[in-house]
Amino acid sequence: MNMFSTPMKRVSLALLAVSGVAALPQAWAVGTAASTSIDNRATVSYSVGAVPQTPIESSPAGNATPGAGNGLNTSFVVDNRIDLTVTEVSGGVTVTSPGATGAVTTFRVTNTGNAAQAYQLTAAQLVGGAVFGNTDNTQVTDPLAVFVDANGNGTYESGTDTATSITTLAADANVVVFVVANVPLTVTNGQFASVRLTAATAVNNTPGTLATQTTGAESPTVVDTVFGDGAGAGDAARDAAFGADDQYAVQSAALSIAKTSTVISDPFNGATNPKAIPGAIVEYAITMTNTGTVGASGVTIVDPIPTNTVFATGQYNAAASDVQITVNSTNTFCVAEAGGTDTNSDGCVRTGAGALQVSTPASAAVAAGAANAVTVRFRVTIS
Amino acid sequence: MKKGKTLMAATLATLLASSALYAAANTDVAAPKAGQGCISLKTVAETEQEVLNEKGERVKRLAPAAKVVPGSEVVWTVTASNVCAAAAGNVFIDNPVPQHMAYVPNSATGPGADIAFSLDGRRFAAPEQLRVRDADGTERAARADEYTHIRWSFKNAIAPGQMAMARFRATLK
Repeated sequence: MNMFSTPMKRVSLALLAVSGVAALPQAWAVGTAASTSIDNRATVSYSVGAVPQTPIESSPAGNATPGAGNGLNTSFVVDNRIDLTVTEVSGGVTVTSPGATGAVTTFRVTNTGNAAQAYQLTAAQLVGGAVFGNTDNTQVTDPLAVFVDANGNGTYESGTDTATSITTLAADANVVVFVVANVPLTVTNGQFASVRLTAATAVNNTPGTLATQTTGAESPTVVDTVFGDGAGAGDAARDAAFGADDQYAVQSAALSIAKTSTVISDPFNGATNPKAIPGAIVEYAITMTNTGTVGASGVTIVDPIPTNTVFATGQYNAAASDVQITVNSTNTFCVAEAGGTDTNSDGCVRTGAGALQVSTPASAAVAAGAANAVTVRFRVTIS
Repeated sequence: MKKGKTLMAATLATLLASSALYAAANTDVAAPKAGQGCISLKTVAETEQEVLNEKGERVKRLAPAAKVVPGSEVVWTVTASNVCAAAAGNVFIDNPVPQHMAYVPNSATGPGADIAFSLDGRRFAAPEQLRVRDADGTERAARADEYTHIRWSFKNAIAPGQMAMARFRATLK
């Protein structure tokens, strides 16, 4: 009966307090690496005629030779599960403006499979549909460029980030990918252009060759390829590809300009109900309003002095200035020199062709919004 | 504890009865072949695969492990065949949970066997008796994925030409 004592004792142990640290499962972020061999070997203990026999180890085909080391592992290799995600990084639109070059949207490609892979990258423009709640209603310039972040700093650097595909990405690793676009001048404020980046899994270190799924029966000793990815934007589950969307938002200045004239005085009535008769002084007011969403800078206004009138100097700022510029009820002044040379560099001059030109710094920027409208006033005398 | 004692007593009684029978039956049986034991032990790894049956219906059946990737469940089956003329008694099969795999709770089966688990390969007990002390000192029931070994203790002898089966499922981490 002695032979029973060992197993019986073990079973009768009531409570095992084992240090949990060693027994805790290992944390597997993406799972056991492909091509890992999983081995298993059982052992049978038995008695014949109440006589304990030498334990026998198992083998895949059956082993009856007693003794440790006489069995064989039953094994298989872990297959290659292709799994990936592509995510948009910023969580919002990329603001750009008409005519912008090198506008960047940013994505992250993550290898969630259990082996290193290469990836082909494709960027495409979407037509219609909403991204971030904004309906796509314009296009940026095709073709879009795609570059891999070479130094992991998450910022697109022309000349540094030049790779257009991912040659190798280890299991559980990720890399940032940029879509770079030029924006046509024809787009307008408030428009949205959506783009989609799709990463397609390719053979590791051979990005030109797309990965294929192993079909048919498997061999326990060969690493098969299994597509295990979910569905991304514009792609199906288990297709080894994953897409994500991002969007360009066009913001621009949109200037509108209005011009009014007012008779200030005439030689007979003075300032009281003046009439537009020869010798009368007329004030022109040019108002620029920016209905866009970003400020306009470097604004230059050129307004020909009407025929049969003569530019009136010294009309503002206690007769010291020729032009008054009003922004948000604040007045600034400048002198419009005759002859085309802005001798005091205040931005105001009368051109040789006889037009008033108001430019930087006098006109400066026109900020967005009606409250920030810029009004330029000057006066002429009717001949 | 009380339950364990009852179980132990019952098992002991069965084993005592079995061993008595062997003693009677074994007096004139042939010895195992030279260099061979009385049991041929075989381990196979299989996965559940969907196939079309003869009626064209999709059915699941076990087939040699195929397309095993992280998350896949593998069915391990150990068969102990009695290959000699004597009954094999007091049979128990020990199987470590393979490295990189986690035991699937309640998946171990074995007709006529008591099944116990271990966290270290030395001490075996029923699941509810396996306790783990975490790093912070708190004690809790061990999770199935923490089991490192499984033991099937067969209550009855395996007669010549007969076999016993032990099976469990494990998930690839």
